[in-house]
Amino acid sequence: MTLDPPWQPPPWELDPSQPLYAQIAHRIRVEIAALRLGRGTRLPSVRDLAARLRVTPNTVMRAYAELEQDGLLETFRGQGTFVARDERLAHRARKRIATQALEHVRRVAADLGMELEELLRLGADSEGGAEEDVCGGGM
Amino acid sequence: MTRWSHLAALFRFEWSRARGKYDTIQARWSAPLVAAAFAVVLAAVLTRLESLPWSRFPFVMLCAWFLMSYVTVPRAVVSRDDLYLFALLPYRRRDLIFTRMVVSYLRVLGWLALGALLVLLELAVIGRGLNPATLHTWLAMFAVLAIAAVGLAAEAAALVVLRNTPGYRWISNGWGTMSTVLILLVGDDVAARGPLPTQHSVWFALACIYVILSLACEGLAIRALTRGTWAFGEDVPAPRQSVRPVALGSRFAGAREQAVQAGRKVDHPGLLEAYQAARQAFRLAFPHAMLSFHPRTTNRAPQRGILTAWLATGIAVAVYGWKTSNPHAFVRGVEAGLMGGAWLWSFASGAVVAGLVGDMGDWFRMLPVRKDGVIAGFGLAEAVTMLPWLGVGALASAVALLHHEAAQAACTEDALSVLLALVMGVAAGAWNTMMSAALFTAGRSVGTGWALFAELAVAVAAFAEGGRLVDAVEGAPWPLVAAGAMIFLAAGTMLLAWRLRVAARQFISP
Amino acid sequence: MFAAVECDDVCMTAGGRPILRGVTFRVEKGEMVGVLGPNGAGKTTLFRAIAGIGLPDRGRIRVFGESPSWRTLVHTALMPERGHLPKWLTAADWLTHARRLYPDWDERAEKRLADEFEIRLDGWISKLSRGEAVRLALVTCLARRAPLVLLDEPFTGIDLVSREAIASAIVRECSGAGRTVLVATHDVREFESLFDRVLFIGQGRLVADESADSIRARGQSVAARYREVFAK
Repeated sequence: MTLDPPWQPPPWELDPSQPLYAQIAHRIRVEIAALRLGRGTRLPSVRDLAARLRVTPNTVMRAYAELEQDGLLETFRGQGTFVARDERLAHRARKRIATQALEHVRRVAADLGMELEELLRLGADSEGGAEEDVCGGGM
Repeated sequence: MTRWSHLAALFRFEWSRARGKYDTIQARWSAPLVAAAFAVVLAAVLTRLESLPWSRFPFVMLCAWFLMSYVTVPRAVVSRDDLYLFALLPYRRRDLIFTRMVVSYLRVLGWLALGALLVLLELAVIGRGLNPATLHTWLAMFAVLAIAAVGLAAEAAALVVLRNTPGYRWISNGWGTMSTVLILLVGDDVAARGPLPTQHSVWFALACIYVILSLACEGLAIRALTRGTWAFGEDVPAPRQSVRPVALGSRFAGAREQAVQAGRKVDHPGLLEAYQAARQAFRLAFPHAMLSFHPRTTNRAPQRGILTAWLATGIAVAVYGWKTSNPHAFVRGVEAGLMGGAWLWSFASGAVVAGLVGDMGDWFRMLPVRKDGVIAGFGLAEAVTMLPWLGVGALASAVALLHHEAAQAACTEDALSVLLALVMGVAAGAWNTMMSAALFTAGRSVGTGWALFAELAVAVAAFAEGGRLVDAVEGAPWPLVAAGAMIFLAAGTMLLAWRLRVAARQFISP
Repeated sequence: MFAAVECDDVCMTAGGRPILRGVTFRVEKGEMVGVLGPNGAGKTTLFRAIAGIGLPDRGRIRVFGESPSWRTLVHTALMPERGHLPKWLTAADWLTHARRLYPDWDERAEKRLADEFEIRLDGWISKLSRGEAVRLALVTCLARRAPLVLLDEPFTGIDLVSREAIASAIVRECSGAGRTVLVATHDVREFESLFDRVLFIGQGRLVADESADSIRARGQSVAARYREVFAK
């Protein structure tokens, strides 16, 4: 069986003040959840991804290990690391990311003392008229 | 098998290092040619000093040639960087040092063979064949030198390490002196006694002792290399003085203000005023340059093998003086040595000054004073280094002469003429330091080659006929001497000023 | 199982001046460790001691369980701070010599690296720029299969783009074989992501020994931590 060339991630800018493995794992999780990384896609080897992102191999290994634990990635000895065949996991991740985002927005709304719908409306309004309403432009 | 192949690799690498990097054929052959010239000069001087028959000249020359191998062969490419590179190789420290030694030995041997060939050629030219007795001496001498070469090679391999190891640095100085004196003694013996085939055992013994001591040095070097103490030289702030450009700049800051003030007085840019402003700037630049360079010339003495030069000269002169049978000829020889030595030393000093100016680079270009003044000041300060060396030579000759009864009678007269030679040598040397500093600073051109040639020619002439010149000056009536001195001074100053100006201009806008 | 590098109370003096004063740490196999500290902190001396070209006055060093000497140099590749390349050769000549001199030379890695770093093979080493010399020195170090790689200030005097290429190459060449890498540098900002762990060395002492992720878990970058450690 011949392998397709592995997926190449864009050169992500990582934030040096947050754990790098978590950032890499998060980016890959988002890619999978967005279904840009189809099931069965081969990921770059630890060595290649580390060289590309200029992080240590241990960092990449830890990120892969975390995703494997979530079931999003599968490693086959001697072949490499792949996105899990089971697409339900990707959808589950998608749902979870969405839930997390929503939870975040809800918290912001609570902080501002608004209902969620009110916050969304306000956001949509100010998006349209950001130029006139200087004060409303802030998030 | 693998061990041998790795040793072979090490050998090839060291061989490439010892060969060095030469871009051109001329560069490769210039060292032997200059060395040959020096060997001839040195042999001529020794033969004259000892009033030997010229038939022994070839032997002395071979010894001198061998002595030259000190400078040209094993020490040609030695730097701490190279040492670092070697230390990093995954080989036994012993293998590293021994490989260096083997390569050095082969090169010294090659040098020796070249010397023998030159001498044979010389014999053929002057039409002297080799009779069996001479041939025997020849072989014996060659064998002695080949044995001594083992010592030289061991020393060459070891000294780089020792020189860079703070605790052992004195050995490298002392050892250099000892081996130089030893070879001089062998040369002297050969010259004095001539081809006597039965009496070479002493040389062999000396050569063997030299080899044994050199091998002991090598043991120390291996130890130093294993312990790694050599590597710390550069971490310790070395007492070696180099002029710090910033400090120099601040020192010149006062000079600039004064120069500006001087310039303000002459608002009209007339010729005379321009001249006066320039003279003012020069007058300010010169003493400052001299003072700022002075600590460097006085402090570095023990570091650069200058101590070795002093000791070697002192001992050699004392030994010859002690053994000489003709004190008057010896005094003449010392005079010639003082003058020729001053000339050669000052030539080298000029190169040192030019090196410093080159190192300073843009810092030098930015100095707000006349650059020719700075070069001249540096040159004069560097010329100071010549004094202790000449002093040691003169002192050693005086000590040696006290031993001769015949000389004691003419003691004052000899001392005066040596003093005169010293003064003349120093004066000429000081001038020559500035001159060669200007020549070297101006950069490489066809002119530099000719200047080098002229310098060598003057040195040879001084070594050969310096004594006669001193006698002539002593004998001449003083008004004539004074007039001659004035003429020389004026001509010298004009020539120097011109060359300094050219050098400064060339360096600033090449 | 031996650690790749183990230092226990290492003290070294040079010319009577103490350079290292009781340094103790351990680096496991396969780790990439940054040895960070200002100039003159003793990083170079520490590397020399680990490489076995300088013996400590006191304390103990072990490289894969062995005391450093020429024998451990067989599996240690040290890139000294100032290149120290044979100035009398061309780059091609040097690589030919190196192929024969180092028992663990990997010719394919050499070709790959020389290509990647765009080494001018016919140029005299004495005429190389600082950046070119560093790249050639890196080829010399990384083309060996040495399991321990010590790089002393590999990034000084190199432009940003080349730095990134160099960092990538270091990661690539060292990750596959599970090599242990120590990088001494005072250039923290751009390369902090290269380290699993960082040792902060100041005035000959180990000031801090932390994993990079534990620093980041506190919401701090390594560079910020560096500033915090040495600003005092």
